[in-house]
Amino acid sequence: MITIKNLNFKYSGTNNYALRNINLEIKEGELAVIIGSIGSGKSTLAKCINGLIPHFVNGIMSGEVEVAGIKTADIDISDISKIVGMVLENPLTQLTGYGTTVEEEIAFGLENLGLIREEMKNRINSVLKLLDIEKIRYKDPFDISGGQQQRVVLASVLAMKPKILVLDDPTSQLDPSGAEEVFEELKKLKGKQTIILITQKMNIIRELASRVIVMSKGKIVKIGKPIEVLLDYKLLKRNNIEVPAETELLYKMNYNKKIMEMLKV
Amino acid sequence: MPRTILISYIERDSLIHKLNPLTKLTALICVIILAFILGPVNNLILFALILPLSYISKLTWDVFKPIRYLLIIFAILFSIQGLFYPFRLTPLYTIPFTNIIIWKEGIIYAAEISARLLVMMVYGFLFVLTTHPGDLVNALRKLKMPYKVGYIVLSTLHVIPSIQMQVETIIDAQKSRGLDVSGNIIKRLRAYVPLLGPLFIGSVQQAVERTMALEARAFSADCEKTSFRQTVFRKRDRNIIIATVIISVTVGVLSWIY
Ligand SMILES: Nc1ncnc2c1ncn2[C@@H]1O[C@H](COP(=O)(O)OP(=O)(O)OP(=O)(O)O)[C@@H](O)[C@H]1O
Ligand SMILES: [Mg+2]
Repeated sequence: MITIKNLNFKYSGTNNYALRNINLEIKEGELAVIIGSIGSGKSTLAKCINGLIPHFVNGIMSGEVEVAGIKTADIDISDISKIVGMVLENPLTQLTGYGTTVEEEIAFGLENLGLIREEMKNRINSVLKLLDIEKIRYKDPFDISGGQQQRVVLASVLAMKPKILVLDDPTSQLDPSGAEEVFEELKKLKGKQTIILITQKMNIIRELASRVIVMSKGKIVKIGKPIEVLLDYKLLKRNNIEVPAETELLYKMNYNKKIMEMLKV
Repeated sequence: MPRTILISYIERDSLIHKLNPLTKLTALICVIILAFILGPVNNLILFALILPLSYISKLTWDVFKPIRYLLIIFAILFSIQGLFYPFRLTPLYTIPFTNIIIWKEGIIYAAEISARLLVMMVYGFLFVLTTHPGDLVNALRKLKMPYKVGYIVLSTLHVIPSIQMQVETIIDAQKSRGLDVSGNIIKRLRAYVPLLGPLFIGSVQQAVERTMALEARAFSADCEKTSFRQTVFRKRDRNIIIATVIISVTVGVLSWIY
């Protein structure tokens, strides 16, 4: 579904490459979680997948990014938006303010695709149902909780039926219960949709991720199963990533090596 | 969170709400042109005509709310023009025990501009209060508005509330780091200076994010756009447009002749 080959990217006006020699293959239906410390290049990688790089952001890019078999460099960003849906951190900057109800907010992207009204209605009905937000259908999107707003953003993007969904730290601006709401939705989508999730929240990885990608200083330093990464105390420490309390405990008791060996067999 | 102070559609079941946005836009443009042609007295009459209109739209006092933002501008206008108007001839009033003179021409000039601003403000606000933002964007689209203009319209729809929110967040953050925003006005203003940096960086950052989010919703796709909300162009829309244009031209020409 996503193929990235020898990708390098440097923002114009900076001296260091934000992405260095990235190679990555994501299959259909995967839920890949990207973790990494601040400034490790997670968002930059996300922007390469949704075409903002090279179409919108200035810089030097080399290598190739293919989504659903199409090279992102070859098509317009508005065409990429039909393949890759994107959810960012702050719900307030993603609500267009175009509609006064949740349903109209969702309709915005569908109008831009030129769908007929009947089809819009069908799609709105089904995403509202899928994400279980039918109750707020006629509410003002600026008048609901942050968690609900982010679910509306997610619904708006899903209604456009993207093949790939990229979420760049979608819960960092939400309170714990709002974050929980968003992760619950992602659990529902798992397996039905190819998803790339960037997050700082280590505690949800084990449940959610099919694979974990660890980034550091613009490079991918590890791709592995959630448990492999979560138990690798040294890997996490070395790359300035928050170590879960359990991992720390197991490490101190010298257990994690044994578990890792068991897993490899 | 309020949508914004300035742009805040209020849903009501009224004749004016139901008019096609293009009708209202045409009328608004006529009024703005008239405001420039007419003198202060006639502009005040035009201003008074907002009363029946706001009554019909079931909003009444909401239309007048933004006037408080104008009051400061009026105060500045009248004092600066009254004292320093370049073409001053006739003294109107000399402030006792000083030689400060208030000039008649300056006051008239300030009155002209103020009346114009007043008219444009209330009618503009009536338009915004009675026109659904989505309908507005769709109407502009029908006029083949380039999508860049659409970005601007859409962004203004929520730039203001997000700036308000940001200011609050930043103030809270700075306060918790010991920023003192009490005391006399100069002290307070000075205390707000450190807010400007984060506010500016934050706004640029948000503008970029907003544009990316609009891109992600296929805003710049060049296919034929459709609309979810249905606006109709009724016979009465046509009649109102014709009537407004005829009346405005007549009034404009008459006031020009006399
Ligand atoms: N628009 C930009 N212009 C110049 N440099 C940038 C830009 N955006 C990011 N960078 C730089 O590129 C590097 C990678 O940034 P990126 O935003 O991808 O990191 P990240 O992993 O998403 O971090 P965070 O956890 O803070 O979101 C950083 O060193 C950052 O300073
Ligand atoms: Mg980031």
